[in-house]
Amino acid sequence: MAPGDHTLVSHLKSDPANAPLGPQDKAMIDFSLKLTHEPSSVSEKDIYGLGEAGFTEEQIVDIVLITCLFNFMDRLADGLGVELSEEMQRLVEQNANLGKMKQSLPCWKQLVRVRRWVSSVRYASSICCKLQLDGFVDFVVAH
Amino acid sequence: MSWVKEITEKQATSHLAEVYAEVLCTPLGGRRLPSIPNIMQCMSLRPQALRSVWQWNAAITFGASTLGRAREEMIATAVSALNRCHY
Repeated sequence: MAPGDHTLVSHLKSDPANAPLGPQDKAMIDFSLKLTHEPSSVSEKDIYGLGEAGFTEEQIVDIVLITCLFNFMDRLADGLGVELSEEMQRLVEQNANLGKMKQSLPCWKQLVRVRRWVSSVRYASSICCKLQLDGFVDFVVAH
Repeated sequence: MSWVKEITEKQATSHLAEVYAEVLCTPLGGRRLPSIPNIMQCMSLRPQALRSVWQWNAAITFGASTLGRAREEMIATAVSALNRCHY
């Protein structure tokens, strides 16, 4: 997961079992979900599977520890009715807004590509055509 | 904050004050927390438990595990989503 990958974060939040992950991350998340959902169903075969996916034994212990920690934290928060502090709430909202902005970036990237393409066409065009394209470029950038 | 009595950083004395100082002095991912998180303060009536949970947390999150920060966050997000945790 790339830092600040808000699309993947929202996918993990809404449908963790089907988040678009690479094979190694998928093996890790499937295991964490299994350990969370039905701990007694986990067997040695699952640990072997994590090894096959490329995780070392130290990493497998960490996967189990982190899964346990967040199951603990979730139950602690739910059990005692812990609320996010105003400061944390603000951070979460800021992060969510940043996520929305980042999700809209591909659209801007496309516009930048269009602008580059237009620039190359403009270079090869006559002055008359250039003047018209300048108007088009301004329109694309403005919108 | 929560449904039980909590002792804030300003009110804390003796053992709890020491534990809070430890929480605020521990660098997480190179940064120190500006205040005691609610998820820790909710255990203020049981300082030793608070300390143990804090040390457990600091040992395997914010990039301290062998998995790296991104994978730690992925597990945290997936687990909390499955648990439908409001926090």
